Amino acid sequence: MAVSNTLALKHKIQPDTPRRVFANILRNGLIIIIALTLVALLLIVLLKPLLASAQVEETVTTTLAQLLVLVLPYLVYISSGSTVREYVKTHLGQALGLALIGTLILYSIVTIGQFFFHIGPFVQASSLEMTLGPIENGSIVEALVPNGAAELAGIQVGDVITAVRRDPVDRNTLIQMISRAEPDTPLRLRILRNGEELQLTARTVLSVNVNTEALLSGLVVALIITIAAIFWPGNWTPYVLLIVILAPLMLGYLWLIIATFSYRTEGLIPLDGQNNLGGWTLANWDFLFGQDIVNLNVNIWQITLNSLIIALSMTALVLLISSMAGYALSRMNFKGRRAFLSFTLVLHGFPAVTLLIPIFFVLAYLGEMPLIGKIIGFNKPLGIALIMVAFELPLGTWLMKGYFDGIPWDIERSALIDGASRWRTYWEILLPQIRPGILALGVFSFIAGWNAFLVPQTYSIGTGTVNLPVFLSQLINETAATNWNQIAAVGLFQLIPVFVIFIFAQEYLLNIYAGGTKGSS
Amino acid sequence: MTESVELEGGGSSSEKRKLQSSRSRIRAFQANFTAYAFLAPAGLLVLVFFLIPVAIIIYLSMTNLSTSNFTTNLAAMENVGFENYRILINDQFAAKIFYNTIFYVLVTLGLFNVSLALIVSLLTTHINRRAGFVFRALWILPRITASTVYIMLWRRLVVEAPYGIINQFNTLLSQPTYNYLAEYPWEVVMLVNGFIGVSFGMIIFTSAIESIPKDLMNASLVDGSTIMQRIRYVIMPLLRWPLLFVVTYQTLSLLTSFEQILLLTNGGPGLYATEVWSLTAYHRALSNYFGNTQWGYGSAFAVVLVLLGVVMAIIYMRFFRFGELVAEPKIEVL
Repeated sequence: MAVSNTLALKHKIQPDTPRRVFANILRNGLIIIIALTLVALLLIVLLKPLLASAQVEETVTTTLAQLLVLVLPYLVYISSGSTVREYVKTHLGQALGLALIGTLILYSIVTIGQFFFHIGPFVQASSLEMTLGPIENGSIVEALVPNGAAELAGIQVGDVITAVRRDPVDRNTLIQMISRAEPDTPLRLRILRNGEELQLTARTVLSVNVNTEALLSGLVVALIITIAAIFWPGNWTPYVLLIVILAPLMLGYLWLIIATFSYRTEGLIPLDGQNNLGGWTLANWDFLFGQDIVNLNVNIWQITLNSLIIALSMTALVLLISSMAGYALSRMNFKGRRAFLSFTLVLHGFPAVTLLIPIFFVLAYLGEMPLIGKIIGFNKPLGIALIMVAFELPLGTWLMKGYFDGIPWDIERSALIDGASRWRTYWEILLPQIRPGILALGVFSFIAGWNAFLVPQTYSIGTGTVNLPVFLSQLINETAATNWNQIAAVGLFQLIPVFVIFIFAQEYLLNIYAGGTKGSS
Repeated sequence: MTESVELEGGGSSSEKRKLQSSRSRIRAFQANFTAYAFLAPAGLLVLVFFLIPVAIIIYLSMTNLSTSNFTTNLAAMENVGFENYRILINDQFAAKIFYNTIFYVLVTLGLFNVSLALIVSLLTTHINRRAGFVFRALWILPRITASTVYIMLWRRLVVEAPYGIINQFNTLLSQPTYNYLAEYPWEVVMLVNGFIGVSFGMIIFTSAIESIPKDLMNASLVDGSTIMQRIRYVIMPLLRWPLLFVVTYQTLSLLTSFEQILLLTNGGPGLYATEVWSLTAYHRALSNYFGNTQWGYGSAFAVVLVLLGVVMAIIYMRFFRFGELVAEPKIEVL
């Protein structure tokens, strides 16, 4: 390729010299510093006031800016290390030295910036200007800033702070309390001094609590990161990144599995009634045998049956109707073919969920019709399924047409010559040919029907169409946090078929969840 | 029509021709009829659940139908013309909800549905093939998990200590703990929706990257380009169309889907803090917690989205190589 050719030439013409490598380190570092700082400033100075003036209550801009500021130093040191990755292969000592000196310079730039913006080690926070250490019944004062807030309040080294007002606090809570207080907030501290108890009121002040130790350890961390970046095996990076990004999700699923088999959980840790580690139990699954769930007496199997009816009837209908339409669109020429095809495509892009309101009226009308109303009216799983079939239809038709297009005409032609009807050709000859398509669309429809929440939730007035997801949302809304593990069990119960499908049909799912764009992109 | 193709050798006399043409007309009718029979079920469903609803909602948005007069008597509603739209424009919260929606869609789209999707597809195509497939498959999980279960997981991740999983890590690192859903509602809403949204772009980008000719990649490898250079000069230029497609398609799905927000914050905390346009339509017309469902007014909100949906859908059809897709079938009738 021409572009990469010129790149390579540029690379060859100017071989690496120590001076060039060093310049590259500084340049890359500075680019990162300037770019991230600019983006952070843009977020805070421009975007935040703009959103505020539009009445949007948000903290996203601040969070993003804080994140950028947080990762900035690390990115700089990593870039400093990775810039010499090539050079280190030929000149080990020189490269190491250059990278470390570069990091040292970049570290001082970052630190000056942090000082300037009051961030990082120079962050301004409410404080009482004393150092606290942990002790059994509170926190012990280890050091005081001369003429600081704590000293002015009369606190001495060696005092034990046990409570704020009447609430007992340990060290972490106290530190959190102080740092979250507005500046100049009076805090009434209960203090133990030489065995006697006294109360002192200290006022928080806004201060920058810098200690040289923190700055020094920051520098050491920077140098370590640089060296790590030089020798880090590069092919690990994608794996680490992918795992880190996915971590919250995987932890969530992990919790679900832990929770269903334990008495209660704090975070990911299963606990029993006495707050001891463990508490493994199968009691959460009692609902399968007719026991109450969270004190609600329901028949879970009836609800599961509703879910199944919706999912299976939806799968069958979607497959039948969309493969019929797909066949006609792929194999026949008729008046209005082009129009129908383009209309299908428009519907494929159209968000059906916006039509929930009027479909309410359609459903009400269908429910009043003499015969049909008994099957597909309100509170009938089939009615719910039919709406969702209609929603999936554009995608299904489009997908089926694509699969039919891929089947050679010859087989069908011989069947037609032998006198088979169109219907018979479609049913007996062509459908078996597109089995992968049927399987993919079937799996997709089944999952969509099994997970259906919004449509059944919106149109179920009684209990006739309550399926598992709707039932779950009722459970979540009606209970306190204590029964979460039983709800989790119901959730996992709902998830099991999905997991099974996921394990056996990943490839189909991966293909179809791009909206069946197999043919269009 | 092309029916004449199937007729055997051409006759010369005019009678024969007449006979042929009448026979071919019957054939044509039969062919059309069979095709329509195959299309009938789909057509009926589209009529009942797409076309009629669009007509109903446009009509509804010009009426004052609401719970106060919605008993069983649909005749009790009045046609009020564009009154609902006038109220909507002057509604003091409509502006806030409008900007909320733009903010939510743009940030989620930019950070997750496009950027993270691109990052994930680049990472998974540059590692072991099998491992890449496993990671991509894992990203499908949020999409195939029922929304209620998925939201339950996220609630548990972000809830206040000691129950919350993230807060447990905060405590371990002796950091302060937060009630994330109350203090950072938008962040959680965007994360939750973004994690679902990643898979769509990821799949599209991955197939686009994998379809880049091997020669091109090899050439750039031989030339000694670094990974970053390859991404910048080889991959990105070829991703322009997929990028545009993902941006437009996901903008529309973010604009119109509200299921996760409904379950997570239901528009709160506080007054419409995380309320978006589609959720408002739902709240006004269908979620009767306070007993005042305003069908007409809610429909006015929804009509805005319906019209936008139609316009965007037509745009997709025009831009994404539609002509090739509707090409005439190769052999039509025997």
